[in-house]
Amino acid sequence: MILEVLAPFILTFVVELAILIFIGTDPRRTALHAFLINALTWPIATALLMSFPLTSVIALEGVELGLPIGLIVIEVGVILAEGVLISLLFEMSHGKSLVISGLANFLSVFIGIFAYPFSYPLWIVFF
Amino acid sequence: MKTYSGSDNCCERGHQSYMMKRFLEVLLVLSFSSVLVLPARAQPFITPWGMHFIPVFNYIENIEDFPDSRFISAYRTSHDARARDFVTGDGMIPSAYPKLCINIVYAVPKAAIGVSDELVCAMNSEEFSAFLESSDAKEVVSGIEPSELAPDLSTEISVTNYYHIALGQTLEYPTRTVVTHGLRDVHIVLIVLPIVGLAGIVAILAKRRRK
Repeated sequence: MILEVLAPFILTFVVELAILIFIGTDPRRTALHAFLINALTWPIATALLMSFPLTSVIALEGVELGLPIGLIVIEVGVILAEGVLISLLFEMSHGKSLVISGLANFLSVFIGIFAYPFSYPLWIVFF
Repeated sequence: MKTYSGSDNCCERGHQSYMMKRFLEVLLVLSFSSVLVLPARAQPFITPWGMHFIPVFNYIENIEDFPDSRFISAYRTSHDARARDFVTGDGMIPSAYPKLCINIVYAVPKAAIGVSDELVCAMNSEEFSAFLESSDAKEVVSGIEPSELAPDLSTEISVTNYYHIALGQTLEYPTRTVVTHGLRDVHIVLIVLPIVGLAGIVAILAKRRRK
């Protein structure tokens, strides 16, 4: 079903909108900008993450940590891309837009991991 | 001590109501997102990351070569087998998608089946084992899977396996396999969304530059 595929996109859009709504003047225009930014970045990031679900396992004393290297690298790219797009669409400085993009994406990934725990190649095992 | 004039008080109240409005907006979008999060949390995940199950259709391609036999599709649980259904006239082996059971096909001489099809399918595992022994049934195909894993980005929609059977031997792998390809919802979303996003952003920036 198409809604099943779109659910993570809607979730990302809603979470990022919750952050971007603070910097926009007109809520409707902010929602449109947030939608367009996510419509451009989310499918590319999803396709890349599906193709390269790289995970690096770090074994420490008593703890095994699965780090989603693919997710981290892709998210850094998304933060940079969205930072540029936010600065263009919301007409603000690159530094400020990067901070907002970082915050919005951190929150969306955090909620995404909570919503789809088995979808992310991330784990911590204590032994 | 800081004091406010009438207009300052008015500004302060205006700022407070503005912040309250923004806070309520955020609360609204977060409560909406929780509606999306909670069902996803409750959904049981059995598929590995980046994969999904696609149906596998199985056919006996030379079923006409055995007019004296009937074929029963059975499924194997951890320790026994039970009949699922009879193989249809066109050779289609009934198997339940998306269950993860392994299916087997037995060839039973038509003359040896003394009971109705419904009764065979209703047998428990002991009765079914006794039925197979008494009717001189032969296992012709084993290890039939009703579904298989495919990458999420794969264009594979379904797999059709064809078995060319012989009564004296048990086939473990299909004789030939046909994979059906096509665009799925995920492809449509991943292609259409970025085009919409890019077109929208370019249109907004172009409109702004024209002004």
